[in-house]
Amino acid sequence: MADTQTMVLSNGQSIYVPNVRFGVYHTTLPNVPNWHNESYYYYQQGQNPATFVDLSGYAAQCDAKGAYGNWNALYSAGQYLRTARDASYYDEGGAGKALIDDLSAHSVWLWGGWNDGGVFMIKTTNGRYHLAAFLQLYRDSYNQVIYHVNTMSSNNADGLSLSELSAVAFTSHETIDGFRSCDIDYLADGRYYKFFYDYVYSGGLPVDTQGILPDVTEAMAVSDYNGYLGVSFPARAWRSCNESGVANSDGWKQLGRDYSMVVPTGFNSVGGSIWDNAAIDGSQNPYANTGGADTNNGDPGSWPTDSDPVDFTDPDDQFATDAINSGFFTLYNPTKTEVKAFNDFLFSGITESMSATLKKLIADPLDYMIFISMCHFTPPSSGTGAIQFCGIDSGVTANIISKQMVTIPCGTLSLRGIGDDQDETNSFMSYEPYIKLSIFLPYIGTHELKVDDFMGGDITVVYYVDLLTGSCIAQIKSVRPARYYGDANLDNVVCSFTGNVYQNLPLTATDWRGLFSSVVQFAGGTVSMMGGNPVGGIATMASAVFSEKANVSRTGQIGANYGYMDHQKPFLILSRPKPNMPVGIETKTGFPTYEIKKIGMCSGYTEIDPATIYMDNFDNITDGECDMIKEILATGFVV
Amino acid sequence: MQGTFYVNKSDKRKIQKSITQIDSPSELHLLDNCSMINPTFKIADFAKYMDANYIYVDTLRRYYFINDIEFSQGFSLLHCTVDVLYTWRNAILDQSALITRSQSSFNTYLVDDKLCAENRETVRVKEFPDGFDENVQSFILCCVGNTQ
Repeated sequence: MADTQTMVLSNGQSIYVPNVRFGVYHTTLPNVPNWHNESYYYYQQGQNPATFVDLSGYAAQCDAKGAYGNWNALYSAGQYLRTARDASYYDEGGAGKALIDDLSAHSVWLWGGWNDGGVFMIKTTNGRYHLAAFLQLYRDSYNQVIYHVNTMSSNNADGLSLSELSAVAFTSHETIDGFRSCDIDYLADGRYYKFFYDYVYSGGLPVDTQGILPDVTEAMAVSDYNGYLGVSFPARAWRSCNESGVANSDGWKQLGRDYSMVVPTGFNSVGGSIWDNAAIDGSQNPYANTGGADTNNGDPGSWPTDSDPVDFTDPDDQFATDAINSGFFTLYNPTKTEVKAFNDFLFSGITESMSATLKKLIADPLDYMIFISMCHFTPPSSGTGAIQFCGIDSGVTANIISKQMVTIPCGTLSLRGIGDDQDETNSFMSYEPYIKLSIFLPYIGTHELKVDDFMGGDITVVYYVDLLTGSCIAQIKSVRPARYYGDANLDNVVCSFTGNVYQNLPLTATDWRGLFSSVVQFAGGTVSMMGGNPVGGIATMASAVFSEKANVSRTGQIGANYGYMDHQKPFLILSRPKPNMPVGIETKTGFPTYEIKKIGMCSGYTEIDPATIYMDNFDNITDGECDMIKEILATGFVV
Repeated sequence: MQGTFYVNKSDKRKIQKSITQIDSPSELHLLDNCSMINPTFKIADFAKYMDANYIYVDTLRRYYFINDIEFSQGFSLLHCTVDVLYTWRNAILDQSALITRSQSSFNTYLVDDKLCAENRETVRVKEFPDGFDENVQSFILCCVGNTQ
């Protein structure tokens, strides 16, 4: 592997380092308030490569090395390239105002695209008044390890040499997965500092992902780079440009600028690569965050962060074909008046001739009435039509239901940490077991939900009702953005519950068959009605028919459907114990940190795990005094 | 050995102490059979240092809290305890360690077992904006056969 060597950082980690140097640039910065992240692109597809990178130095060097032709070749081959500058800074906005004296007093903007790891090497030759605070704030905000390298031998053009890199005091817990060359600038009155770094960005090549890195210090066909599309490698890799690079077969020539890359061992390529021989150093944390971004609070492992979206049932697809209009039954949505009229038709208006007709048509007329129910929604209608009973037009017109399945959206509630109605309070107390979350679903009941599925996002409930049976299913969906690096975006139906929305009405039934038999046997009479417990009562008929004394039964379950009497909208019930937090408690006990860092980077009340401190470089100290220090640091002290 | 006397107004648990020197350093004598951690110093003229509660001993290269003072004829005995925090403050501040609790840098999503909560629960109810409508009472009638 040409121009590359292995070195061991002060944290014991082995890394490959191309034999190039880190470079940095200065720029003039705008003065705008608060956090800002900027990206500048200096060359894109369609632009004249001659204008590639209008920063001073780039174009000149390209020109000097005759590199235009190379860039043109890449461009012609569809491998357009561009460079980018990303910058981030915080500005109080007030002249003369102190910057970041109180870290907790300022809200911090997080820019998702920035949370992709890396180690910033900050090169300054003088310690500014608020620099340490700025670094801390930035580190806290972006979870990135930032080192202030103030021992660089020179400024912009030279960058950080290998010896300087090896001198950086990395702490043992840190796994370095890459470096960004960057610089920090500041306004004269100390109102802001700004990070920025440049990198070569190629829209045609894989960027902004993690993992595998080809050796860009060697000549390689662009098609080979494309071969890495599937294995992904970080954008920062493309900052590797060796001034002495050799043009490859496709005209790729590493730019004559002091970009660099560092690749940790263990980042092996799929299908073999130049890193195949990389060994995992035994001193490394085998559970380090493979995502690489949350360097100091990493996920111990590599739990996948993707989550497939699972949407609500799509009624247009799933219920495109239903039983409506199949010919076997018809669903009506009559008004109460129409129900009454139909009832009158059934029990008062059947004539002798009708009875004869019925006898011809059916053996059991009541089989023609499947059910009658009530519900608290309006079913979809395709118009009106006469209610047909036993093939006879009842003369009663009612709405005809057009679909078997009905969707009843219940809306969305937010469980985000926004405004006064804040459920996600940015603390562990917003989650189980401290918060309990239940949902009341009409016709279903109250069910406990898993808080983690919903907290920090939106919860939506949709009912699907089968009008043929009254069965319903309530689907509950969570739309919750990733809450921390490595978290998954949830856009999923996470649970569903079932019930029945119908309030079934009683029908008299079982002896209709006999009843109608009597009607036919005693021609000239009209249909009569059940004796003991008449629902309607048929008006006039022969006494013989009355003597049939049909028994009454209820085929439809009167159905203890309490849901019909209950609340008709879902609601959430959140409960949590009332925290008792004295004012100023943070100065007395602090809050949990669980982070390895220099004690000097803390302020105020602090506790440490005494087993994690090594009493190195404590001059003239006895063992008893070491124990005293550990005991004090463990029980609480003030920095 | 020389002792420099101070008034210390800072809590023992603070690494950085707010100390004010009193007068010029004075000669001290270490009593026999005492330890480095809890030494006793003999001083001839403590009167001018009566406000002092803190002392730096150059020979021992340590700062000490003055725990108690015994007065005898012509001299005073200062019973002291070493202030390990201030003595090695720079080395301590430069050490990396697992910070378990902090006032300045913390993760509020870590469970805090020191947080106290009342036994009373706050219960909130949030109703969804839509759903079934109690003002709608529809009949559903199902009959066998087609309408036509």
